This record gives sequence, C-alpha cells and structure tokens, in this order.
Amino acid sequence: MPQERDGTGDEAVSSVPAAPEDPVLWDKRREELQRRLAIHRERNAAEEQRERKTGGTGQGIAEGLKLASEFAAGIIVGAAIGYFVDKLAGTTPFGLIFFLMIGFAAGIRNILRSVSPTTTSGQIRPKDDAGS
Amino acid sequence: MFVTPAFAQEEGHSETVDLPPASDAAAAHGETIHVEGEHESGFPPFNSEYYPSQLLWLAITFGVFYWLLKNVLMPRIGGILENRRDRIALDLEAAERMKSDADEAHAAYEQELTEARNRAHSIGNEARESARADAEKERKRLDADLDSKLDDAQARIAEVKSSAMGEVDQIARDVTDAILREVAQIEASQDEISGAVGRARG
Amino acid sequence: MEYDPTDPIHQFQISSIVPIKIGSWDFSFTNSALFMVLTVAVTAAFLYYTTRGRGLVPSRAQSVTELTYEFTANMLRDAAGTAGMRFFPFVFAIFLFVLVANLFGMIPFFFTVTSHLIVTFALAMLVMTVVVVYGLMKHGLHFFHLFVPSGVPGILMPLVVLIEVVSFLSRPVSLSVRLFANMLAGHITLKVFAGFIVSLSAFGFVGVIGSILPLLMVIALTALEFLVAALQAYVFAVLTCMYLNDALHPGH
Repeated sequence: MPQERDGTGDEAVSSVPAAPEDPVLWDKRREELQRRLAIHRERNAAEEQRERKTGGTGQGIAEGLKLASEFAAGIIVGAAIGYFVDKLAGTTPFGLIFFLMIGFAAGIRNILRSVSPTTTSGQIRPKDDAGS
Repeated sequence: MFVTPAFAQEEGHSETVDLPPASDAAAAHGETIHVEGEHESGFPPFNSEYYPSQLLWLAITFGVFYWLLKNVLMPRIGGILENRRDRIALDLEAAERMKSDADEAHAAYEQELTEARNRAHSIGNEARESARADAEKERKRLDADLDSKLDDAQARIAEVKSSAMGEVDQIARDVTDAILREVAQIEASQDEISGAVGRARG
Repeated sequence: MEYDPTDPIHQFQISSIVPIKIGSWDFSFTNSALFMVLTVAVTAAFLYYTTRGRGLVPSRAQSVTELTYEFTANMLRDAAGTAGMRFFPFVFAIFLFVLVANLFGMIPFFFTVTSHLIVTFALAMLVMTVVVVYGLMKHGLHFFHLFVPSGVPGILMPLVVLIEVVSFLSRPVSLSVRLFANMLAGHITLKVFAGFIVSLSAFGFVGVIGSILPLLMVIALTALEFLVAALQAYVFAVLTCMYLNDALHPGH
C-alpha cells in the first residue's frame, strides 16, 4: 500500500502529505482523472463525427456565388460552339440559334447540378422542360 | 473534344427542336458583340501579344510550385500534423493506461485490505478459542487435582479418626484400670474393664 | 514612365522586363511572370519557414500553415471522398496559388496575376485536363457515362447528352471567367473610386469634402475585395474538388 500512495503522488501534484485521509484524496484524484479522460474521449468522438459530416457555411456562400456564372458560362459556350459550327458548315444563323438553346439548357443544368449535391435522375426532367 | 460526335447528332435533330425565342438569340448576340468589342479596344487582359509568355511562365511557376508542395512542403506539414496526432493519441492512451493501473491498484489494495481484515479477524478468533480451550483444560486439570487431593485428605482423616478411635479405647481402658487400681483398689481383669468401657461407650 | 494615375485599366498592363523571343513567339519575362514567381516563392517560403520548428505545439504562423492545410484537406475530402485525397497536392497548389495571387493583387502597385483571363483559363483547363485524363485512365469509356444520365427516354437522349456535353464544356469557362471577372471588376472599381478622390480633391476645399464619400467607399470596397479574393480562391478550389469527384465517380 505505501507504493501505491507513492505512485499517485508522482502522477499528480504531490502537495498532499501522507495523511490519514490520503485514501480519500487519492480516490478524488482518480475520479478527476476519469472525468477528464471521459471529456477527451467525447471530444475526440465529436471531432470525428464533425469530420465525417460534410458541408459548412463556406460551402453555402460558394454555392451562391457560382450560380450566376455557371448559367452564363453555359450560354457563352453554347454561343461559341454555334458560332464555329456556323462558320464551318455555313449554316448561319441556325447553328448559333440551336446551340444557344443548348447552352441555355446547359446553363440551367449547371445551376440544377450546383443546387443539388448529387446528380440523380430526378433532376433530368425539369432541365428537359426548360430545354425544349 | 467531346463535341465532335455531338455535332453529327445535332444536325439530325435540329429540326425536331423548337425554334428558340427571338429574345434569347438577341441576348446571345449582345453577349458576343460585347466580347468582341472588348477585343478591339486593346484591353490589356485580352491583349494576345503576351499570351505565350503568360502561359509559359504560368506553366513554369505552377509546375515548380506543385513539385515543391508535393515533394517538400506537404510531407513536412503532413508529418507535423501526423506526429502531433500520434503524440496526443499516445498521451491519451498512456493516461488511460495509468488510470486503469490506478484502478487496478486501488482494487488490489481494497482486496488486500479486506483480506487482511478477515485474516486478523480469524486470527483473533482462533487465539480467543485456543485461549479459552487452554483455560478450560487448566481448570479441569486443577479441578481433578483438587478432587484427588480432597479424597486423599478425607481418606487420611478417616484413617486418623479410626486410629484415634482405637487409641481412645485403649486410653479409656488404661484410664479405667488405673482409676480402679488407684482409687477403688479394685483389681479388675482386662476383660471386665473392656466390657465396662464398651458398655460405657454404648 | 508616364501614366495617368486615375486610369483604371493601366494596372492590368503587361510590360516586358526581360525580353525573350523564340521564333515568332514572345516568351518575355514580364511583370505578370514576375508576380507569378513572387507568388510561388513567397508561398513556398512561408510554408517552409513556418514549419521549420516542427513544433508539437504550433506557433501562430505554423497554425496558419496547418489550418490552411487541414482546411483544404477537409474541403477535398468532403467533395471527393477519401479517394480524392490523391489529388490533394494538386488542389492545395491551385488553392494556394490563386489565393496568394489574389491577395498579392490587393497590395498597391502589385500586379494581379489572376486578373488576366488567359491565366485563369489556363488554370481551369489544367483542372479539366486532369479530370478528363484521370477519368479516362481510371474508368476508360465508362467515364462518358458522365454525359449519359439515367432514366431519360430514348428519343430525348441525344439532346440530353448534348446538353450535358455543353454543360461540361462550360465548366472551365465558368471557372476561369468567374475568377477573372471578379478580380478585374474589383480592381477596376477600386481604381475608379480612388480616381474620384484624386480628381475631386483637385477642386479645392469643397472637392476635398466631397472626396470623403469615395474615400469611405474605397475603404469599404477594399475590405470587400479582400473577402472576394479569399472567397474566389475558395470557390475555385471547391469546384476543382467537385470536378475531380466526377473523374473519380462518373455516372452516379
């Protein structure tokens, strides 16, 4: 029993003299340790949970910022493709008109993709309606 | 690069698609005209004179940057973070282990304490038992001793008494003889005296 | 050199420092190239210098490095999962390059590398090239399932595929144009308002009083521009992560 008393003395602040109430203090210190360890365990688990979870406020801001340019980019690309198709095939202005339509649809598609995180078949319909 | 196969399909399908609203086309035209307008103005970001230079230097700097990050800097940072994570995990583990050690020691201590207490208890009981047994034995021995001594004494008393009694007869007879002889001047035979004494004693 | 201090366009002017010509191509070392080199050098030096102590308990500067590192790692893991972590150096390089280039642009008299469309477009095309090449290498032709959503009636399929292709092609455009336009517009706005201050101050006392408003605007815009610089770098990196996710898992 004296060894154990020494052991605890090394571990924590050993301001406690070997008094008759030592076992009580010892118990108290053990409980304190247990409490702190439990807190750490909890915090670690929470951290892991948080890391596993996706999404944050930053993501939301980014989503909002990119919507407009996503839409515009679709139209720009559509226009560019149409322009070159017209130039190559001499179909002015039908290529431009058609690809602008496609670009418009693609822009909406971009937005829909941005709004919903996963691309599922459910989002195909509204985009189709918008395209034709 | 993926457009080319699509072009062929598009040609076949362009008739099936509804014609676009005029507003769209106009908006698109505005878009393209706007872009072209910027081209003409010699606006620096659209000045293609320095495109090759920018691309080349971007490739060089970004390539070097990527190489540095991948081979020097990120292993370094990653190492530090890994190191810290390991260290914290180890420390926590050590704390847990110490805690369980302490718990074990505490339990052992408690157990030892109860054991010792039990042992002390049993030793005490035993000692008390044996002491009581010893005392009992001693008492019995003494009792027996005393009894035998008492018996002896009584036997001796009886002996003494009987011998004393026998002597009393002789004394009485002697005394009677003497009295008769000295006082009454009567010579009596020993038999008469014995008879008289026996009668007197009744 | 002579230039009008209120000209909002002048700051984007590229000038050759060390002329290098190979054939008919001009590969001169320009002020743009100089700031690319500076961006890379300063970033690398910062990362290297702050981690020199390898402190178990990080110093303040080391914390900055570590937080950026972990922030990017989390961003990539969120968007592309654990399999995406192989692109971590790439995403980290893109993020840091764009971020530091944007922030460098906020320092007076510094050239903003990302305010030139060709630079942002090159970066975006680099991302797209990585996506396509890796996607084709890993999934082969299955990669093209990215353009073929499931549950579409057969007759609409060519149209839908066409739309998907255009949508895919619009990615580098939107990626590069967004960054470029934000940086360009921000700097022009700042310069225009700053120019107001200068030209208003020229009108004596009333002008000086009147220039207080644009001054306040410039201060507010500067703060906003810092936010935009960081946010655009973040958006660029997040989208890079998302596109990489497509390369890793095409055709959900």
